[in-house]
Amino acid sequence: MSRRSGYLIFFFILAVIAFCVWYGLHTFSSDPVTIEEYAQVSAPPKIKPDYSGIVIPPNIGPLNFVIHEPGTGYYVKAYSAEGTPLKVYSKTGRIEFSRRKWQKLLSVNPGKKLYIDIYVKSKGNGWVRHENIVNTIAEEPIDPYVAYRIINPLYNFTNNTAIHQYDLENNKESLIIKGKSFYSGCVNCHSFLNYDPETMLLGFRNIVYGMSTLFASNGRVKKLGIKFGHTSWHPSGKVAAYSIYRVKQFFHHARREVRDVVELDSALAYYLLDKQVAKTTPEFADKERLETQPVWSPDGKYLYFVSAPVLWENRKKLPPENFEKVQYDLMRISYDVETDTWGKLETFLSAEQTGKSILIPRFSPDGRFMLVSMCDYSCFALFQPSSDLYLIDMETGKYSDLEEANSNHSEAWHGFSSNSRWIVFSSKRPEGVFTRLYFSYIDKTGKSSKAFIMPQSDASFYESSYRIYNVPEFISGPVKISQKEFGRAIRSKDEVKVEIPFSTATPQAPGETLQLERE
Amino acid sequence: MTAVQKSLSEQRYRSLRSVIFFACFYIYVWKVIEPYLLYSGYGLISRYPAFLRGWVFFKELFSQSSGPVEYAAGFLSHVFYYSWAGALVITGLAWLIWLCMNRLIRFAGRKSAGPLSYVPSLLLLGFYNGYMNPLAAGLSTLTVLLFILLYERISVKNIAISLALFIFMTVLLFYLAGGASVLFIAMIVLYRLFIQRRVLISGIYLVIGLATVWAVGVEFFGLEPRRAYLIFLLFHPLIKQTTDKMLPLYFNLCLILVVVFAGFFNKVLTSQYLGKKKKIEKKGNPDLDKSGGNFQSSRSTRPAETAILILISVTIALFSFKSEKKNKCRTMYLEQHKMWAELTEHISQLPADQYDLATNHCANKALYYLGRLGEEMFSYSQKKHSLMLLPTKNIYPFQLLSSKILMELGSVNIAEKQSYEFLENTGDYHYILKQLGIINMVKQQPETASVYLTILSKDLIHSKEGKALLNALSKDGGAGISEVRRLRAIMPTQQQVLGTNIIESVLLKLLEKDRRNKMAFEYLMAYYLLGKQLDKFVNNLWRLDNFEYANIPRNYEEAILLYTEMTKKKVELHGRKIRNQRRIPYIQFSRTIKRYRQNKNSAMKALSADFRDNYMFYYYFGISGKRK
Repeated sequence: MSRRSGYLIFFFILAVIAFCVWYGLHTFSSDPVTIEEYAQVSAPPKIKPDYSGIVIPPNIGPLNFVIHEPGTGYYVKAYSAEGTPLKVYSKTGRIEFSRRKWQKLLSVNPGKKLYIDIYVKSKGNGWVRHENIVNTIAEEPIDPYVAYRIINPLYNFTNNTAIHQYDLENNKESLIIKGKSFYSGCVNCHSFLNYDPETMLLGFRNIVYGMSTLFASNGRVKKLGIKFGHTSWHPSGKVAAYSIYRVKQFFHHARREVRDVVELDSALAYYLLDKQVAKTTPEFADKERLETQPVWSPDGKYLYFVSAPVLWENRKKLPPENFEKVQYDLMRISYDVETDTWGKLETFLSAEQTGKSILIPRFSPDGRFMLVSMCDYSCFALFQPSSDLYLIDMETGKYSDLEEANSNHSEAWHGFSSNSRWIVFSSKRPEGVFTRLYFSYIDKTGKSSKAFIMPQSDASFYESSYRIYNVPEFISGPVKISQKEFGRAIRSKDEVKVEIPFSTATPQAPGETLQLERE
Repeated sequence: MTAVQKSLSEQRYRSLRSVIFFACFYIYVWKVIEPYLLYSGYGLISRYPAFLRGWVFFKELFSQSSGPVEYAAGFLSHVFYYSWAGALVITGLAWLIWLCMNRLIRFAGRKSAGPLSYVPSLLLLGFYNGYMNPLAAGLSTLTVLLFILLYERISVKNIAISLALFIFMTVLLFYLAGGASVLFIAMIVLYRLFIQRRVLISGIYLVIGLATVWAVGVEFFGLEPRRAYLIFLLFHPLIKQTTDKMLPLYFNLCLILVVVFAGFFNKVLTSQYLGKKKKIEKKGNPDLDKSGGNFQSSRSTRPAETAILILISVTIALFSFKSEKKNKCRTMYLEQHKMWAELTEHISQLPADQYDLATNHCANKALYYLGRLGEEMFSYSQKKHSLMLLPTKNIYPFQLLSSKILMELGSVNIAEKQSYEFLENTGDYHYILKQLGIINMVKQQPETASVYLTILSKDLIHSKEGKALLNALSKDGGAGISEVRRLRAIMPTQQQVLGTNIIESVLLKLLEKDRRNKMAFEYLMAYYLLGKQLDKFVNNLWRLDNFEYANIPRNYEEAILLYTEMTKKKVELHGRKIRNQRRIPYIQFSRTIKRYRQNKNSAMKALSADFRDNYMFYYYFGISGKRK
């Protein structure tokens, strides 16, 4: 056989393989099934993730799922009042919609119902049609991106922290920065100014480059000579309030959640960006109280934070006495950004009133609602199975449990979308171990809808992933600053010198970790 | 004999030599190194190589620089589970590297490199002989060698096209094997410099090559500059976190490769090989021996070359062999396979300098399972913290062993904590995935258990186990699994915070839940004995009633005698008696101690021969164990 014949045969085989692949793909992506006869079952099908009875944004990416019903074939039809129905056939139960068709269907049906019919073919018994799934397509879109931190289930050691962003319209995750890009460092406490992906603060710590905060603005990243804890931007962008704390972790013999956390000491401070100075005031740096988790009101006139009395004498003992009795009050203090003057400290909602520890206050941008976590005790909601989301009506001061969105497990790290209609939060449902991101619709009266997990392009993604998602923040677009730019700033010896005219509440003892890793 | 016949004979000789060499190499790796021991040591002496079946893992690895090589290394490292196959992988890699080196050397002008071409393969053997797993680095070196051969074979004369090809191959190489591309650049630059004697061109290649690595590594993949250039050479993440000792070795490997070639090229240059080669080509003489006799293998130098090769091989085999690491791996293997009798036998034969905390821990565990912990514990050298390896701070190999012992004891929550620490440090280690699956079954968290078992079912070696557990989980939530039932029965259920004295807190909590938890009891007593807390030890003797001991265990008897003598208090033994064979040695021991009251060292010397396995000896001198 000549060399030329060899080449010809090779290319012929290649062409046959290419045709087979193309045919296979074509066959599986089309609608090969016509179901004329089927038995009706009144029960809804078991699907994972549970995307039934929910309100979804008109711009969300495909809600892919896996049907967990025994069968040899699965057929799904998703349709609404307008547009072309989506049809998916699967032999395994994995239902993954075409992104383009899904977006088209949702975009022409805001405010209407989305129906999902599910048929399962069982061996010998033909097709069975389950009770259909009915969801509602909201009129208000969700912010297109959410930024969050990803870690593994952690105790004391951390090797794999990263800040990611997720394109909610296309179900695509991308990396903002990972700790491994600078010697297994830790990245945390990211905070954006008014949903703007271009302006953010980001904390990091690492054995080589130390502990600091990155300030990204207009495509440039600077390193500040100070490490912020929980951070909140003043709406003007001139001030950032942050907490400093001495946090410790301890463990339970028998509780479902093994970990527990206590802040032995904490206080608030604020950083004036123009003057490059960090300050505090006795109102929120009281040695006898634990102040943390600051947030500015949307008009910038008040700083809200949570605070609890120190219930122990010995500040080194772990766990301290009465740790299970620590409950945080919701406080506020007025502020004039122009003159940098603080007003009078007030208790906005006390733990005595609620009987619970009030944590992580977050405003809706319209100023109408505040979302908080409440749990039996502690400063750290995610380690408390009792932690639930509560909505405070800022007009009436009344608070209510977000029943539809809550579960029997911890809910925390929540935030509002820029149009105040969607919330994102971390939840440990269904079993209290993995923290995932959930979304819920909040109507104008403050009523929530059933929460749904962040969709993934891989329908079975959550069935084999132990990644932990937390501290989600909506942003109006992708963070375009490259990881390289963040890395350069971290490695850089140049840092903005920050004047700190006060002693921190968290002095670091020799050999002691200043901030233990927490979810 | 004609020149052609000579050449053929030379070729046959070299081929035969290589076949014999690699056959011996294979047998040595298979029978002496025993790759299954390396597999047992993953996560303990070397980092667990990540590999999972399925698209998700494939996509994750192939979307990052050096991911393809890591993927291949992860896959092949799992093959070590079967010793013969592992030996085949290592030998195959060594053979391919040798083949490339041979080609490369011949390509550079020499007809035969002799033993020189075996050097990288022998270095590889040296690493494995030291119980390291440099598979990823070895594969990246192989990739580099293949690329160099390919690049020079294509041999484009147009400088612009040649540079474009060079850039393309550097980029591709960076994607495949990370910073190993630096080695590629170095080799090409050296070739240009010494073979072609084009100083300017080699400088251009160097600048462009390094700039390309910067562009791809730092700009595109967002790596730290140091990592971009040195990954796989000095700071490969897979080896960095396990042993720093390996780094200089790797540095040497790469350096030697470069030096060998630089030296070789230099030699070629000084012998004006190029000029001679041209002459030969013009004359059409295929026998290069004549032209380059000073560095060509000839019939007369063959025995010398072979002798050198044998000498180097034997030297490497002898001097790089790390018996302590092999013993450590064997300890882990026997512990993992619950071969308790073999484990105690193995540990008994270890030299004193190889007996570390983990070995001590395994010895105690084996003694417990053989029912001899209370009898023979002090026959072994005892170290503080060896019982449960708590607290384990940053010493991550201990996290696996401590999570296992906690699990066996029944302290599910603290085992869970230790398992997660190990998972974070080591990755998807099969045993930890299984353990987390079981823990979540025990805690009736089936969906969580399913996540870990689904990942386990993608493990190359342990997928069957993962699938079987998933089946059991789907049937009845794991209630049909005896280990799940056992743990549910003995795990603490009363809520309480773990105290500062972790070990005591854990063991007492376990005994509070199940007074018949024999392992918890024996470990608690061992803990008190080790800590010389005789009052607490005596106060817990009543727990003997919960078990069916024929006699009071020997070390307990010794401790009771000691306590009685020291405090003059009577110990309540609930009808049990101290055997006479304990009383007599005790009297001897006491007399000797009294005799040497002023001189502790002399007392120790006098008692050492007969009492090193006695608790009294440990109590007085803080050491134990019959072995030296």
